[in-house]
Amino acid sequence: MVTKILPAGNLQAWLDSLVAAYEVYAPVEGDGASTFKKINKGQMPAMDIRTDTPPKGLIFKQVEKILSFEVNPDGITVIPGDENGTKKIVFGIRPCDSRSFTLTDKPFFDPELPENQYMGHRNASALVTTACTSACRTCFCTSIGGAPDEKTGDVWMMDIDGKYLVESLTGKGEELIKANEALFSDASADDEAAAKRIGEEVASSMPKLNIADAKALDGLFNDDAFWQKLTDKCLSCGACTFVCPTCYCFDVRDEGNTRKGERYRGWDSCMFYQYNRAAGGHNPREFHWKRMRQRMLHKFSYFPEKYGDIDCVGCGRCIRSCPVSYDLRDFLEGSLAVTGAAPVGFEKELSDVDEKVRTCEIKPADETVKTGGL
Amino acid sequence: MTSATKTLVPTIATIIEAFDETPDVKTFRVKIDDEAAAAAFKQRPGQVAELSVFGAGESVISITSSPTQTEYLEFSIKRCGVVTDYMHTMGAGDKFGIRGPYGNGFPIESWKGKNLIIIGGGIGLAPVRSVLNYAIDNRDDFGHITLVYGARSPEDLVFKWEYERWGAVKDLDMNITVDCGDDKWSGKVGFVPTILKEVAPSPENAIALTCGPPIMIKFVLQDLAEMNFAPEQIVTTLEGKMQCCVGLCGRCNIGSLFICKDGPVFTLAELNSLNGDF
Repeated sequence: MVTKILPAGNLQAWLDSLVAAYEVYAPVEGDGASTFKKINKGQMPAMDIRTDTPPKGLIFKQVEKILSFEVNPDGITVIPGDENGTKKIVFGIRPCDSRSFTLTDKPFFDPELPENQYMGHRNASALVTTACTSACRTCFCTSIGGAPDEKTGDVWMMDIDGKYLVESLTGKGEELIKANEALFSDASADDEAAAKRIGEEVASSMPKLNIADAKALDGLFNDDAFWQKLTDKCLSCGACTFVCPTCYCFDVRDEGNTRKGERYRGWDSCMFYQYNRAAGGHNPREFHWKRMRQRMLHKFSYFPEKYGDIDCVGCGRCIRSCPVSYDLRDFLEGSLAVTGAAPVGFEKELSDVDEKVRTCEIKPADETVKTGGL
Repeated sequence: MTSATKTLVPTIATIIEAFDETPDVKTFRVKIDDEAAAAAFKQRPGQVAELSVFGAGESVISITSSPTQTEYLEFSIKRCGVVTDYMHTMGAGDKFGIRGPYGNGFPIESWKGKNLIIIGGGIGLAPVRSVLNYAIDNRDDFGHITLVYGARSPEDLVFKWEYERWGAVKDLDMNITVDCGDDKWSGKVGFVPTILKEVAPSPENAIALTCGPPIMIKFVLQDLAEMNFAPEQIVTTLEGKMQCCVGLCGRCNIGSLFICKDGPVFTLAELNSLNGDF
């Protein structure tokens, strides 16, 4: 794998070269919400923003056609949806979002029952990760096993004072650099040391939460009062699940009529009443606190139990987009207090940084970050 | 198994026969059109299939026929939602989409030589009927069979056309009951748990299978415990809102297990060890 330096002035040239060969999606400021959009030649992405919506939908499509069908005299013709994703690059994705795909891969790349369409998009995509050189007030990646400079994706890059340190992490990533070698120069040991230092600085600026382990959290299941209190103000609007890079629940719906139509899978939310309502009316999660319990325990107990990793990347979008300022960190801290359980403790707790960071100066780019409802 | 490369895409099956069981339950006998797909569809008793009415949607339905019935698959479907309403308008020659089989099914291999106590209520007989007919077709592999089945009224009893055949099977004790009889009813009257207590099956070398409405299951479990059945001897098959049936869409979990993929069959011992919404 190669490690190179890309002068900031060459970023546009690199992007243009990639745009010529692939569909390139990158952070773009939009009306109301910033998101990942397809960029054109000469267009500089908003490299310093944290997008309001995650790049999840580029691979796990918000709406995906599973099949189309038509009744004809010989029977029913079923044409499966496309399983070959378009070759694309997700550029400027943050380490947390990049990590989110490695988590969603676990259920979707099931050896027996793979979700082929997700796999198609995933295999056709290359992720160019941009390490964070500052943390938002809502960031907590270091508490769930990530890091602001985590090397994840196919290419990893970090802005080190006017130039980018760029490292390929996979063969797919190496191609993206090698095809444009003239734009890059060799990286020195000093460059790598500078990147390491920045990463450590950002990580140390972030408050560290301890999280109770999967078993201890599952033990909270029957503490109804805990969940009811936690969910008091929740509106069941589902915003948290739609902006979550790791939420992957979906619904399946048919469009058209019984002679001709399509079947789609689309994002769903466990926060909705209808989510668990069975035909006949039985609903095991009819109350919103039961649905909140499902969402929290799926991420922090069931998924880790099954796959070994917490299904949360600490991006903080659910905190920023909640209309009633529900803060996931309250659950994490509250549950630890209630269970009295041994924390997972990914790293040693940092002393007195909590206060400092929650009131840290917000850089101009962070001003777009909405703090719950404000 | 449906083609492993197209997990959510069903294959086509044709209804060869359809008939009413009760005013709101209809049984469909279907055959998968594609020969290779039909040969690949090898179910165990207690497994489920995802049936489609294209344009209306998909529903997860238990396969009520035993794998020993190789001519067709049987599904007995209660009319209670968008897809099943539509299914009730369908008949011989019409086509379903089908994918599966899914789920774990009953661990029948480990039940060889054991006595089976099958307790069903209403349409809840459908999933356990696959075991009953499997055991009848492999009669020497199992010990005594006790069936306790009930419905609200005589007209709500399903599989009435099977009773005569079942009644003639050696070592099979059949107890059919209704909550409320009518002029023509001469059989037992009483709730399933009440009749179960009367029958009082022995827990020795036995497995109790139960499926039915939640309220029935609640009392059946209590009664079985009183009769000294251990939680490991009590087996049930769960129902819940399932959409994808492959453990992905998220909703049918009991703790970290999915009804559609890790279930629907659980022993009471397994359920006791799980925290979940039922």
